[in-house]
Amino acid sequence: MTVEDDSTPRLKILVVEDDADIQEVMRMALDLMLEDRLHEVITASNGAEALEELRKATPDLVLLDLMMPIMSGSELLEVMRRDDRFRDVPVVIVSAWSREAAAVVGAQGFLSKPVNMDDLLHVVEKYG
Amino acid sequence: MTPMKSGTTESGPDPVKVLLVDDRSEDLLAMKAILDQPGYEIVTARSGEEALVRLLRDTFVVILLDVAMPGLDGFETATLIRQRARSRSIPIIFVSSALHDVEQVFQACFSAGVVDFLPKPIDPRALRGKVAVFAHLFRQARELDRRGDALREAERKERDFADAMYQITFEEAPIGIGHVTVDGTWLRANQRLSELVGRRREELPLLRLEDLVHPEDREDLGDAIKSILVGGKAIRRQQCRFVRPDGSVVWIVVTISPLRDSRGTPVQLTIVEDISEQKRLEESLVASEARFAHLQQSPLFGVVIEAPDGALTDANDTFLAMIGHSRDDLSAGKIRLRELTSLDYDEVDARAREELRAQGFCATHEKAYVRKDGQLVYVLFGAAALGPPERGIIGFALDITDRKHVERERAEILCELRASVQARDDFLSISAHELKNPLTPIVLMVTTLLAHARKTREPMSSESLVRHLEPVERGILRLERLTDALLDVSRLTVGRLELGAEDVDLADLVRAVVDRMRPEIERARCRVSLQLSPGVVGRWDRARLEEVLRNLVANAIKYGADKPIEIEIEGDERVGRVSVQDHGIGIAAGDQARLFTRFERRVPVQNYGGFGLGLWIARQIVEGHGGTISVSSEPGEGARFTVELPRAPARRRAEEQEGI
Repeated sequence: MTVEDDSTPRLKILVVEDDADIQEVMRMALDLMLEDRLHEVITASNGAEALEELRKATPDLVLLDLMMPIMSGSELLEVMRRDDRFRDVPVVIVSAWSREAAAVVGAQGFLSKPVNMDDLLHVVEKYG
Repeated sequence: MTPMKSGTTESGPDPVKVLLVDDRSEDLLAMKAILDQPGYEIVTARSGEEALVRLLRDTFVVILLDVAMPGLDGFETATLIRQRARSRSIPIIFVSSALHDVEQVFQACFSAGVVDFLPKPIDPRALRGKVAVFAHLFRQARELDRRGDALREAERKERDFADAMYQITFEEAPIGIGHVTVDGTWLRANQRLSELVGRRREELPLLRLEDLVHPEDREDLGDAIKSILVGGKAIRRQQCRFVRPDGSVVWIVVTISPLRDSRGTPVQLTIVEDISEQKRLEESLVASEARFAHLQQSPLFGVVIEAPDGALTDANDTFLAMIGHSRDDLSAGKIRLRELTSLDYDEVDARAREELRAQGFCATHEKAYVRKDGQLVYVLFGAAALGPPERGIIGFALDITDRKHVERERAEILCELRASVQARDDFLSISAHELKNPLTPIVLMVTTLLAHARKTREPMSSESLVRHLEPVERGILRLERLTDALLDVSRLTVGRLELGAEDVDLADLVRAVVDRMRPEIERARCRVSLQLSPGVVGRWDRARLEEVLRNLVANAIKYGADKPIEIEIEGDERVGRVSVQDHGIGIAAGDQARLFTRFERRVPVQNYGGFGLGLWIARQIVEGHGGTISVSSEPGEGARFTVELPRAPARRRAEEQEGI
């Protein structure tokens, strides 16, 4: 659920995930978790979409899946970090792989699938 | 006068003694003077009695005897001389003045045993002449005697020598020698013979040759002996046995030659040689050869003899069979172990030969020979030198080809098993990962709903609840499908997948699958167009085929999102065909080949999630129906997967398709 008032500062979370079900659930879960707070969940199904969304508005947190078609999560991260605009945006990897196997450089956190709500909430509160 | 001795002296022939008997000394002297010459020794006697005395001591060539003498006259003396053996043969010449009548003279000579007559007064020429004759005769006779004596002496010496030699030979010979009479009794035997027969020499004359011989050999020997007697031929080297008094048996070889001894008596020279040692050697050789032949014939392993030059001189049938060569090949000298040895084992072979050279044998080792037909035969081989290098080598080979095959099979199986286990491990780890995706919406939503419900007192509306739980439901479905796929994989791996058979209309099947997958299709924003020929029916496993189609469509969605998908069905009376075309990223030719292997993904792991199993399972199912699944694609142009199924398929067990 998004809050329509433009003037209020909103917690913007970008969810980059190619699996439609996971994407949907993450949005619904975040909405439920953050129902008492002004927030906006933006979703992207692949790296190109994600970049588009990033250009539109800088999010407060990016939840990034690694395994995606065309541009993988780590490739997107690399692009982001090379761009001044997005260098400092906090990114948390959400992946079925273990942290070591993922071996991603430049992320602020790591959530392993299946994600449970507590972990997700903790991350959101940290960066939001 | 020089003493008489044989041969001539310097002064002439040996002097011979002449006896002059006359009572008148003047006549004696006269005669003596006439005969005085070297070569004569004149002895005088003045009476018959003196003459007789002289005759006792000496021997004379001739006696000149005066007839008229006092005491014993010439006649009486002559008679006495004749009576004595010693002087009987000495020629006597009467010398007389009284006899003039020829008749009277001859009478007188004959009666007295006198040979000649000289009238007085003596004619010196006649005297000399007559004495010379008798001297000559005497000398001749003496010479003959001397020669005869010498000859006899020489003969005697020779005979003595020969006897001595024979005696020594007889006694000392290391072989038994004996003389046997014609009827077989022993005349004499040497020490060795006595030892051989185990009897003292004194006992032997009481025995016959036959008595000493082993009963079994008597007949043969007896026959041989008869042939001597009949034909006079010798027996040469007849083998037989002596039996000693203590019962022991000694093998001998006997040679019997018919001879005559010095007295002319026929004897048989019997020579006996102990051949016990030889017999023992023969027997042990026969036994050893029998053992060796036994070994040689052994069907258990091959035996070969190799000459120093490397050619095989002998091989048993077993070995020849092993290497696939004929005995003619062997005889032709065409077989050489070094040439037979497979190249892979050259080093092993060289080492073994070195061992053989150094220590006379080599440790058993494995090697392979190339048979005449080109196949390999594996053997366990060992060899030993037969003595010094010139004797060659004996080798043994045990066929272990079967064992080798078993070994190789085992190694292969072990390898396969390991690969299998490894693959399964890989699979398990990948599967675990893949399950996380469908689990994620379930876990996240359930934990969120719970936390929310705990936090807030407000109940959630049913509509809201449904909205929130639908993804969970989808996740559950996915989870179910994935676990089913896992089970299928395990069943397919073990070959326990049984395919059902019912009448299936392909068009119906496709429509059903597309319907069920509509949400995903829409979410991926793919437009699916169907070109389904009706009536393509076959006897297939509906559920499994559905799985195949679902897999193909899911792949098309995943790799060709936002693009159209075309599904076509066609067929003839023999086969039914369905193809799924996407317009996604496509597959490079090199990747196409690996597409249907178990854990393959078309693209790098980082870019794509999802099972590598889907297509593999699809392939197992399709091929289980006796059909084929194939792909055609260009990178960037999408991919077209085609499944072709025989309408009345022959069943094949899944395990037969599991070709790696």
